[in-house]
Amino acid sequence: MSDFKKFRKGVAYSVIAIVAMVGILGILGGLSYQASVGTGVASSDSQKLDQDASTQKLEYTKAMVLQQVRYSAITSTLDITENGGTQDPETYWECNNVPQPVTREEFVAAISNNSLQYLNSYVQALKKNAYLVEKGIALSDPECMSVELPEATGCNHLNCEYITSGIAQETIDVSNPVKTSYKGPLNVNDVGPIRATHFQNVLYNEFKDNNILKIMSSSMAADCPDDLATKFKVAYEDVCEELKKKLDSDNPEYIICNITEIPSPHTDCTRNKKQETCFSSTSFAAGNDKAILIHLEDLKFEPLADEKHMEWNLKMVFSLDAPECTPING
Amino acid sequence: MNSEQKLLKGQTMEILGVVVLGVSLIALLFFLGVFSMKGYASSAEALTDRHEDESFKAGVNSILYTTESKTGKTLLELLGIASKAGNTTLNFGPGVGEVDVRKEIEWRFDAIYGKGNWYLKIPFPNVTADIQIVAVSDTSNSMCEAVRTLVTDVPEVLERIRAKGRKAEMTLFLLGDFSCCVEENGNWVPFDLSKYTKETDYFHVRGLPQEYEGIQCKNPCGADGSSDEDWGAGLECAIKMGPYKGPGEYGWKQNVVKVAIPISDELPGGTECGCPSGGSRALFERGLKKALEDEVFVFAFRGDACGVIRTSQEGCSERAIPNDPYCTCSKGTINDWMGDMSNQTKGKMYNLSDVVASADTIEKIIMEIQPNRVPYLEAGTVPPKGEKRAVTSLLPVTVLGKYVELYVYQWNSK
Repeated sequence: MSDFKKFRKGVAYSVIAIVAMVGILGILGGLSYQASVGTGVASSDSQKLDQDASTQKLEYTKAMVLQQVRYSAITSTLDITENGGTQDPETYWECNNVPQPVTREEFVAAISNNSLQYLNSYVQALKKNAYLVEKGIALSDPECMSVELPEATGCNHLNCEYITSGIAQETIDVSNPVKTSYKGPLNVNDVGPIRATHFQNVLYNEFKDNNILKIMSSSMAADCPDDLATKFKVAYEDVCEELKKKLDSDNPEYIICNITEIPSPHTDCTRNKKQETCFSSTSFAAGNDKAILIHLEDLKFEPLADEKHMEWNLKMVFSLDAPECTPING
Repeated sequence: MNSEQKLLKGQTMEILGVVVLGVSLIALLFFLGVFSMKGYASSAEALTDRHEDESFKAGVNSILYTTESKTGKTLLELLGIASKAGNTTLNFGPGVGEVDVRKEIEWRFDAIYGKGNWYLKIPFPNVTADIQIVAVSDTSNSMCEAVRTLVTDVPEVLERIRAKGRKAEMTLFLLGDFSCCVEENGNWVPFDLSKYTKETDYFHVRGLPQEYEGIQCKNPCGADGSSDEDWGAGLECAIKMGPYKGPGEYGWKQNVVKVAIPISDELPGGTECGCPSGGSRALFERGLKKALEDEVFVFAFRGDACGVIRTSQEGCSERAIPNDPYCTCSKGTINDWMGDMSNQTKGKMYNLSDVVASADTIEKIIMEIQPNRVPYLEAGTVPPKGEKRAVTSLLPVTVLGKYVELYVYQWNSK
């Protein structure tokens, strides 16, 4: 082979190698591009999953707090009705013949204040729970719990079975895997079923117009030949019958009512109204000869399925002289 | 350029070409090695796995947020209530009815994950219920010492138990009045119940009324019988009345463990084992029926009508109790009946032969009795061995500050 041919062969090899290198670099460039696109998609997918995981934790924590709002409100309502409508276990609805029924505002304020205590206990326990700590979830202490009863107008024994309750401002922070948070109200409108609004409404109207004493008085007048003790016994039965009808005309068997005589209070039975709430709007009191306890139970619902019905314990201090006998033909 | 130089240049370029080609090939191989398909596949699989995990968690949460149609409550709420109740069948009163929480869970999970592909377990919390006891005691002369021990020692026992955090209270109903004698500083004196009774907020002694809400509480068996020994009908009345609450008020609290203790060495209505026409048995059946209906645990205290008695009418002088039928009846038929009543109501019968131990027995009963609760809720199919998805969530219970964990597993059947 001549020297020129050898030179040309060398150059040809070199050109082939350069062409091959350009080809390989092209393939490498293409593969790098594909890889970068793939990594980007995977990374964005992973970030999205992290966000989803945090959002899910946040939503589940919100669901738990809402559940605590429900439990607090229902437990508190059962406590307050058992007290007779206020936070005071000695709630007198009539003091020395003067009616002092528990108003709607007082009732709402009592449930709200009591609910907040329950809710705070729940939240404190939740905050200390290892599950939340491990998951990087933090929540604020509720400062106020709102309670809203259904409108009294149109409320009867068949509706008004649910209460609305909530927290105006709650903060939930999730820090893991990514930071996300919620700041705002948490409300539920399905606290129940419980006929607390209907009971408060009916009882308020009955006491406001002093109907309980009127029923007793007319019952005693009609029951003339009997001794005073029997007259009172019959009068109490008549009051119960009337209350049962007023509270559930369709199913009076759902209502348990009994009246027992109790010792007269040693302190003044007048009550100072406490109707201030933390969430909005605004904020009663012997010489007596009889004190009674009207005990009512609503068997229709057991809101927490624990054999506990809504109970009302209303106390009255009154004097009722033996009335003139009703003329037989009168 | 001479031919030798051209040859050298051609050879150099040839070698250079081979080197460039080699380096390019190595770079390509290295690149393929680093970003191999295997790597892509594994990271894609991990991503898919995570997607499925998150979607499983979201699925479980969404089921918990669903509302049960009859109650309008979410499953999260129902499970919290079931955890408190220690029961999966919840009764929300006649206005709503009963809800079987397990069934509600099962059909929802089956619809989403398929039957046989999931498992759920919620260990229920330990809820210690308050204990209320009604005891009904025969007041015949042979029961004097037993009752004296009870009214003296039980209040202290209750205080001690309450100090340990177990809330218990007891009302002792007496079927009559005592006319027996007890030993006091070496002398026999008529038994004055009020002198020994230490009433507290948690221990009360009351006479059982003759009648309660139309029920005769104290019945003698025939002409020779004695109404102050009718612990059968007496038990029925005591269970119906419940423990003492306040002046004129009786009743059981909600969610308490109810315990009844008949105390006697006689068959209900007296006349030992000679009551005609099954009269004693009829009175006994009334008490048993009421205890079973109201889910009351009966812990019967059987005395031995053996030895001697001293009555105040006879100046506290000693009188021997004839072995037959008194002693034999108390150790025979009475033992059998009280044992039967205790067994049927998941309680236990105790022998009062050692009266001093009666208060300790009450302490033992209170400390050991547990409410009727199921320990956990379990639904679905027990998971097979191998890989499965798992999620653990927290569940608020209707008890202040209590939370339970909920475990759900899911797998794909082959």
